[in-house]
Amino acid sequence: MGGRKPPPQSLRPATIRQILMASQAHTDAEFLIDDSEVTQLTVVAQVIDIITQATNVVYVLDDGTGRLDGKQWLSDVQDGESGNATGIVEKSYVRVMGALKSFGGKRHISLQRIRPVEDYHEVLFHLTEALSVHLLLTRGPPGGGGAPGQQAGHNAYMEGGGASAADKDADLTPLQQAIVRFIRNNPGGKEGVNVAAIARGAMPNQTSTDISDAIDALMERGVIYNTIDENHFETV
Amino acid sequence: MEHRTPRVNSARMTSYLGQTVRLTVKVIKLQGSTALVETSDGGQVEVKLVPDANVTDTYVEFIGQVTDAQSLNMLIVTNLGSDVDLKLVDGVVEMMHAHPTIFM
Repeated sequence: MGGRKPPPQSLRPATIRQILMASQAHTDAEFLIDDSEVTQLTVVAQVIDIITQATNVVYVLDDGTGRLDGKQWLSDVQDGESGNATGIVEKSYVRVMGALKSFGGKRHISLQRIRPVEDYHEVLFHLTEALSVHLLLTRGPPGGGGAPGQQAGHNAYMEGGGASAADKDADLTPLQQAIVRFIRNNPGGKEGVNVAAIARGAMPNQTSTDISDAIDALMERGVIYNTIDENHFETV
Repeated sequence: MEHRTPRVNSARMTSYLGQTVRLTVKVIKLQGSTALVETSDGGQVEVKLVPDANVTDTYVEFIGQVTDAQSLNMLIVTNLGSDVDLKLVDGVVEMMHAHPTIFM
């Protein structure tokens, strides 16, 4: 299955191990983690070393799962802006945000932001959030067999903030959830996913009435919408 | 790959003999070049400190080499303040071991 496209500029929490293992179809292609395109990343890690060079500062980041350089171009750091890396010393934990780049075969994050972690629980939170997003992308939203009332924390960044799509999914029927999952996993580009493909692939042994009822209900809830015609759908 | 320092508790230390790990602890007692600490799963571990180790806070994270099930040779210490939820730390340690694909 091809890479599902998150909204542009979504911020993906990840471990350094995930970043080091991110796949790339060719040198200029987008990086994929869990088959999902990665544009902006956020990582919480310990600063092992700080190397100041003429045009940039390199922070060697280690989160226990691996090491990765975070590179901050000095021209990007404006006076008085919070992107400025004040108070960051070796061994301290930081949260960084930036884009994943590859240079000479070595990966690094081009840092837009770096700030100290004031509370150790943010380190624990980040690991948990990275796993939560990984599971959401690889297993689909919770529900079905999940423990009732046990709502995993979804990535508020990725779904555009507020009530995330997965939160809205929680009280869908199993068939509705299967349809949403199927559409998300089968990006049809601008065209969306054809209703016949949904009927074949979303859940076996459903009547076409059940499928079309479920699709109508999902449309009404604003979870999916028509694309090129009334037979093609995309998730919001 | 290199540079992996898995987060552990005392029960998991036996699986990492000779390896470098991260251990988040509460400091019970400092005595000379060793520290007696409580791990996230409630175990006790003796940490052999480096000469100028700056262990100032109640809660610290050690990076060190596991010498045996109850002792660690410290390499780096990070002070974490006076308020860390060790139960949560233990949950994260176990969560990471349950999902090695993204953590190990």
